[in-house]
Amino acid sequence: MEPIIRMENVNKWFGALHVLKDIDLNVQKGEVVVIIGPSGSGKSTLIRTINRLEEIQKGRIVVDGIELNRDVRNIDAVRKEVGMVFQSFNLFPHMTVLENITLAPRIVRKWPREKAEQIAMELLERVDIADQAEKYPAQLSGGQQQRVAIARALAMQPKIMLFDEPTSALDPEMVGEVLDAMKELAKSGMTMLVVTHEMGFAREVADRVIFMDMGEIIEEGKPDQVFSNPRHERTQSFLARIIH
Amino acid sequence: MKAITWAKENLFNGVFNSILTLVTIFLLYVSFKGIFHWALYEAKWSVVPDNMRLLMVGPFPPEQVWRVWAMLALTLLVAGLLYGNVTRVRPPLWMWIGALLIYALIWPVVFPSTRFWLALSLLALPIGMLLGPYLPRKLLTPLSLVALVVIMALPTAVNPNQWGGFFLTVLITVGVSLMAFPFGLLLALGRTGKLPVFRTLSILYIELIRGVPLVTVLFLSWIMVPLFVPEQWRLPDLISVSIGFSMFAAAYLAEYVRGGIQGVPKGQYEAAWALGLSGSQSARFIILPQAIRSVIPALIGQEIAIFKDTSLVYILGLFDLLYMALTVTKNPKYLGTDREVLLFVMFVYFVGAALMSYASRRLERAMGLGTR
Repeated sequence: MEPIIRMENVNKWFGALHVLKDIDLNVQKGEVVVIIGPSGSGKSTLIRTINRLEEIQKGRIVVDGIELNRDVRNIDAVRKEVGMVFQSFNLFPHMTVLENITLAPRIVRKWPREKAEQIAMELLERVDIADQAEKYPAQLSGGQQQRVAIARALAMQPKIMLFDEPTSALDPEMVGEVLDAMKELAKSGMTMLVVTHEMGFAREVADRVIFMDMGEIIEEGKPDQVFSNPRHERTQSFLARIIH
Repeated sequence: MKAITWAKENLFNGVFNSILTLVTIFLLYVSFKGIFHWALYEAKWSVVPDNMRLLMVGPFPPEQVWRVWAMLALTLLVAGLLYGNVTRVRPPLWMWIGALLIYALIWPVVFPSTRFWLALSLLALPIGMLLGPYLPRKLLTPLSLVALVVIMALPTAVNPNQWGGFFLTVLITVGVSLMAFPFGLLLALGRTGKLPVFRTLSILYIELIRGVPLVTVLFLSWIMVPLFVPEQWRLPDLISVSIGFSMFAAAYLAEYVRGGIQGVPKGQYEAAWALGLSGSQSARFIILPQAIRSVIPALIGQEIAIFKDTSLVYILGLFDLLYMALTVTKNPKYLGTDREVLLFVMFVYFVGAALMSYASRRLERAMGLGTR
């Protein structure tokens, strides 16, 4: 079957710094891929190339049959199919929760207000904060904000969801509620790429775990295999440092 | 009682401070005695009410002055309607009392024929607020547009060369603001944008304009703008000067807005792009609303500067408030009243600026609600 994301020989430089080295990665529809690795290993950069928040200098990325190149129409088309959740939420502070979620469907998908609001309320129901719809982001807790951000990304009805360290900026007691929302999403069959340090989540939900270091994919496999029986010594030393 | 305690604690706590206080009071008395005496006994304040029409509308034909009143009344009515519709606040009691007070205060100054218009203008704001909530929201925009067209059409029956006084000052302020704001926005977007041509042009324009004095820009536009239009059109000086003024103000507005744009975190752009918004959609819905909100104090400051700087047009022979004031003092009948008239002009400018600055504070508080 044709993978929904195909990355071939992807290379990226920040100036002289080589941050992605010959990345080859295929993701199947419905697959949940968790990317782990030390900070600065290029894992965030990797998923940010998939919706072209980062440009690549060499190689090829095809998302849902659309080639990501300089063509703005292709970039827009890919961004419509790919939702993203950020470490720092990035909700729009001047809009209510409901407006945050309905904005893109209304102006990008051109849905009428009623339809957009109805779907927004269903999504808020799904992440369990329908009662906060009229509030502003600053009035919510971090965990609630991140769940709004998930609902906002889902409102565009994407085929792929990217999560860039979604729980790293949260207080510990709020991590669970966000992970629960992500687990529920994974069970519904969404294709997901998740950069995270939550090894428990990776073990429970991931179909595949990828370990990155110094801009390279060092090792990949089933969570059990990567966590319990890592083949590469760099993976071993990383896991030894992170799992106490 | 409180005042006495306060004075004891702050002005007379100890021998030395008591002496200091008494000396200060004496010095203040000596230096301001003359001014008080002048203001209360010598000044011929009657020059101001006697020339009120000249100061307010300049050479505008007296039988046409109702047009200016109608503009004022309509503006206040629409403002009241919009405010009432959005906030659903009923006009507070002080607004009615204030209207009554102002009416009583101004009543003796205006011609009997204009008293009706005065009353109408004073009542327009509270009545608008009262009716606002009953107006369907869909009608707001078309209604405001129609009102705007009517307001703009009202004075055109009179030759622009006869517009003057405080009316002209306000007109230039509003006109310049309306032209400068969109242009300034474009310049700010150009300077922060990705297109090298627009960026370079914007930077050049902004730096050029900011490097020259306003008076020179006004003079130059007064001479140059007419060269760009066909001769048979004969633009009124008012228009050419306003265009130059707007071009000047836009450069400053652009820099304020740029500051706001650069203050919006990078994550906001990324979130907008990740949702599939195009560059212009992100600017319109995400970046500019946040950028402008954060620079409202600076924008209103610029607005106040425009208002005060309109006094420069008197150099070009436009009959603004300052020009009319100087004309009044040259009238043989009112010789030697320069101080009275100029103090009145300052008072008018001060009240206008204070009102804008008050509105700015209200606006900030209203918009700050629930954000960040």
